[in-house]
Amino acid sequence: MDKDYIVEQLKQQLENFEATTQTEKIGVVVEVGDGVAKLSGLTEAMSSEMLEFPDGIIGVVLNLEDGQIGAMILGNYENIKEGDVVKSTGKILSIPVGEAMMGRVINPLGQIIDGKGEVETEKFYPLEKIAPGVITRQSVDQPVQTGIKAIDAMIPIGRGQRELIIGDRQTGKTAIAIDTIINQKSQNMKCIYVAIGQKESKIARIVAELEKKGAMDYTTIVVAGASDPAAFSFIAPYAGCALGEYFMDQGQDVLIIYDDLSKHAWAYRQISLILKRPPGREAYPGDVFYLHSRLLERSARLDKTFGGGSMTALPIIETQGGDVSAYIPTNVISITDGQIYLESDLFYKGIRPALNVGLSVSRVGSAAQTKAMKKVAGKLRLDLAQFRELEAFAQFGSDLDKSTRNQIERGRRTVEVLKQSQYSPMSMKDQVTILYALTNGFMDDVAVEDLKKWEDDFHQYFKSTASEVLELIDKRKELSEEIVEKLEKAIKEFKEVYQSN
Amino acid sequence: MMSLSVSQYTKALYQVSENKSPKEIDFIINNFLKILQKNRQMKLVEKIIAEFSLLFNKKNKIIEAEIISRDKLTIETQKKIEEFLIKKYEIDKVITKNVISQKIKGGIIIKTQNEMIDFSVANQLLKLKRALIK
Repeated sequence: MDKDYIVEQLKQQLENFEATTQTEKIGVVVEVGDGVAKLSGLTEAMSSEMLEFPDGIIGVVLNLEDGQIGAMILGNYENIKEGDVVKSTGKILSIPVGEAMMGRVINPLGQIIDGKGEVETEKFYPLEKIAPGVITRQSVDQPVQTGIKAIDAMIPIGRGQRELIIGDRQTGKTAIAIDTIINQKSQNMKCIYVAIGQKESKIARIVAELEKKGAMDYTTIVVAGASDPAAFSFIAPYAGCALGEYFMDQGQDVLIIYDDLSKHAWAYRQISLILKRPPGREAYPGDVFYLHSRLLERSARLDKTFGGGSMTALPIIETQGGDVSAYIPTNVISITDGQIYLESDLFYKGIRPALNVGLSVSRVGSAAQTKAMKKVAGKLRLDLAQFRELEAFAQFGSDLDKSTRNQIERGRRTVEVLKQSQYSPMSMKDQVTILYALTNGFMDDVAVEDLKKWEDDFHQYFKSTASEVLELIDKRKELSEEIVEKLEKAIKEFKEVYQSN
Repeated sequence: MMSLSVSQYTKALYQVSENKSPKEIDFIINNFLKILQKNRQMKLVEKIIAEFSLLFNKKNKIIEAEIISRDKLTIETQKKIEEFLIKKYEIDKVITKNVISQKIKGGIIIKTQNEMIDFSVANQLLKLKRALIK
């Protein structure tokens, strides 16, 4: 510590300081309450312009009315009183973006809240931006590996797709999203997790888990907690999206998770009702569809000439009592390119992830699947569909012919193999091998109860003894005859070793 | 019938009373109030008065300004500020009001209808604080 150095530094700072004064547009607070202020004055204010309340609190213009402005307050609004002077900034609401944001926890204004110091960024991106147009887009053709067998095999997600995760509370919606983030390690993907109105304890748990798995290096978490004002929850997805757009414009692949959009709709409903916008169905304002469509439309796969980046969105919707025909779920289902439907009944039966395969779809489909996966997954869907049809008969026991019994047995094994515990995503090559063994009947003689152990040993064996086959699948990404031959041989060898032990 | 807004009433009142003698204006105001009463809009009177004075000032190139200072300004300084404002806003007349506030610590703040020029010491200190924290 050098005294002179500090004094010198201070002097320098003061020397460079120049207090300029200019004419500022001002308005006066007329009314304030519940995070929303009515202002008079402020002529020439723009929609979604940033305002400065006393103590540097930021506000955003939402309503431009006759002689009055409705603005939401982003911050503590307890100390704002009638007659306070509000300055206009002339800037549209935007957040700082940049590579330095990776690995950090930020609030929707782009301020760092993980206590690990400030970051330096050069660019600002506006929160509201029109989505990329037709010419700039390309069709989705590259897969996002979620690492979850059931999803990668039957509901493939492509880079640039928007796949909804929908289900009741406590069905593992967030778990799927977090597993997907964990599986993006060394897959050349930037991840953004937007927590909207979530419990701070849950966010802390997620951050800790991601750090443990080394997934925070390529992840940014945007937090609007349950105790933050509704305005934060409202802008959080747009903030995350703006950050994602920055990386997409750099030609990178981005995965963004909005957890969850039903709370986002609630926050917007609250703000709209306080601003006295007319309520519609379920008291949501008239533009609640546009609220989500303009957000999700910004996810895209850009054409090569525009950088070739992509942004994949996994919005989450929480249903109440399995009611998918409520207002917000139907809206978001119609906007997205498919949905992953989770059911609490399946969850309690122990089928986890509690995926309802019949109701879950991906409208982009197999275009975003590797050839190897396509080959094994086709049979898988068929097996499961037949099993579901016959499941009811299975209750009656033995009066069934042999082929029917075989189908039921295969179905049981399929269901068992598709179970996967949390935080254990599986690579594509592992998935292909186990699913190949399943669909080609190599597991039919293993008891359902022993399948879990059998599968673990199977992967262990392949990693240690038959890693050559795994590498081939990983490299070629297809199941040519040559590879199939090697694969079958390895599986047979494993079975021999396994049985003799 | 759709009810009229404050600004519509004000505009109407201004247009009918433009270039009229005081006697005529008495008559107009009487009628205007009767209309308001008939439309059950008497509650708007105060807002209309405020809006009218703004509109009148705008049309006649008058600005009302509030000068906030720590101590009472001398007439000479006030004159100078008035001249500055007349030049800045290209207007004919400025009506100033001197407000004393200890909070600004020094300097002056000039506040007009929807603009503010902040020359106060408090503001400079705030800017210095922000620059140093950065």
